[in-house]
Amino acid sequence: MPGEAARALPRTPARTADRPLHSWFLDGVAANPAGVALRINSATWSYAEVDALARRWAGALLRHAAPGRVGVLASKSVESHVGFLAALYAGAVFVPLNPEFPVERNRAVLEAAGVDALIVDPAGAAQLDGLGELPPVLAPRLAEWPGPVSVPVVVPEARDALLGAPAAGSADGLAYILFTSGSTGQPKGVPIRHRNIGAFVQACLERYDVGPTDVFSQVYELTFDLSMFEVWVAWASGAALTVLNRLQALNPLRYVRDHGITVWTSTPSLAGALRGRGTLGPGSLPGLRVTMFCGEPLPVQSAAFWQAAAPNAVVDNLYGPTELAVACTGYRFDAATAAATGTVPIGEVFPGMRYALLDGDTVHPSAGELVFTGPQMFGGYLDPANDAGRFVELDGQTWYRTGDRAELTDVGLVHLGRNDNQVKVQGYRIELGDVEAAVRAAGPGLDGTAFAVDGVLVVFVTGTGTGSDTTDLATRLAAALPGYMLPRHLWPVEPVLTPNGKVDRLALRAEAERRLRD
Amino acid sequence: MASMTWDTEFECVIRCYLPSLDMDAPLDPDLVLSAFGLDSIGMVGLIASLEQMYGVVFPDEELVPANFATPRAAWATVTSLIAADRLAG
Repeated sequence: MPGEAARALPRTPARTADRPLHSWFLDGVAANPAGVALRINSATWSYAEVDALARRWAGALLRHAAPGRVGVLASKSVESHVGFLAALYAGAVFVPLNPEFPVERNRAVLEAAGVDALIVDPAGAAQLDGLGELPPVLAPRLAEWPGPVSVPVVVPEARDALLGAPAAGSADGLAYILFTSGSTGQPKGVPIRHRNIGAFVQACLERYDVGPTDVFSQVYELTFDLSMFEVWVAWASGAALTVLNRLQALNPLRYVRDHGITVWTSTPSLAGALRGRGTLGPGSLPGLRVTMFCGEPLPVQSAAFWQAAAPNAVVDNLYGPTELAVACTGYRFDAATAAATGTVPIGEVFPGMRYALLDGDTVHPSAGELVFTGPQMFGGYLDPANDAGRFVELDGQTWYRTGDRAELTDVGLVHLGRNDNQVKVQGYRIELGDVEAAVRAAGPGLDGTAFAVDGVLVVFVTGTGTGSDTTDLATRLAAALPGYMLPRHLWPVEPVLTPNGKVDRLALRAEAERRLRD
Repeated sequence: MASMTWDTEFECVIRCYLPSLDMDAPLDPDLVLSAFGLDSIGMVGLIASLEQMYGVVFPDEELVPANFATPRAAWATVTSLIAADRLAG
């Protein structure tokens, strides 16, 4: 048969997910060595150049620290992206740290993760004085650091590359640790193994027809796991990764046009905001081939708006918590089958993953709390105390309880909401209890009740006196919480209690809705 | 330092993006805008307003959150661009 000859040609060997995360990048190097691997504004690096830099930095890490866990304190710069690879090449785990987050929070993460080496960019350098006792610090662009350098640092040298060949590594070892909002006010560490994120990358390569001619946007903060889709799926396919900061990410028209982006990732909030501004007309993004939405429920109207702007794009809605390596279900948007809930279904479970719906502790055929097991499932929180109540045994297997409620319909799973106090604001996962704890910590007698109403975070504050000035409190919160967790409004009130003496959340929520409407 | 020499239009436009800043409270040059209701989407709106008001277009490299994090930073970003335009023009 004529077709047989074509099939006999060399092709990509079948890939297994049971290998180190950086081996997916090495696939990209093999497929497209001279092509662009990384673009930041007007600067670009080829696959061969990124690989060479990562070897050099990995060698420097091994020479000076022999690290197990490498903190990458950098704001979407060459240090952050190459830093992830360098940590993995050195056989270590990477821990992304955002220099825009308060230094106190970053210090807590460094300590909780047991970071024993840091890679720092000029933006991150400003925090070094406040991070306590420092492990060895790698400073690839020391010459561009602002101000005098008060701590000892190491600059990678050319000869370091000899030491930095990619580690063989076990797929069972950890690849990265991310920290999510925790209900007690302490950030919660989520360790992800190579095999967890590998299974996700493999599922995405099967799901999207992407290759070396594609250009991915890199929109998400690197402390947020949706960025792991952008970085590793782009690199596994030999595509270019175009880094946009959070302001640039709100202007897809300009960047899709100027940088030829073909794969755009977005939270539903971002699409909703663009829709509200009316700047993205039908057919305005003809070059897009794929858009991946993830991070929060996707309103049908936002998906339809995006599909109209990008008529040639596959619009895909993914769902999953950080604990299941980015996402583990997906739905290919089709305007004709919009769900009755007004949100796009989360669809079918990824290959190799299994789901069940729980009503209490028993399996329900069509509705309940979503639980998953399979190769993408993490092995438990960094602090085992956080594991309590998050896992369930079924069929002799351990399953992760997501806390999300879903319903099985004839178009797959539909997300119904959360069981608890976890909310999404502009795609960021926030425990309301974490915000309330920060209010309490801001001064004696202070307490707060937080709500997310239509994507707006607000806090009622008691203990300040009604109508008092909240400037001081707002400033204290900004020093304690990452920007995405800062309330839009702080409203001083007298305590509003139920007859049982508990905070009357229903009454306060109604009051918040009223105030936002007025 | 409680005040800074910016024009009243600038102060108006900044305040209009800070829903939780008291009208009577002074606009401190080092006020952290994100603590008073300016999120990323608000920042994009602020940038568009500033571009329109001063007839400038911020280049890619200037579009970083730090350049609009406080009134002082935003004013410096605007004035440096106006100065560059004058030199070029």
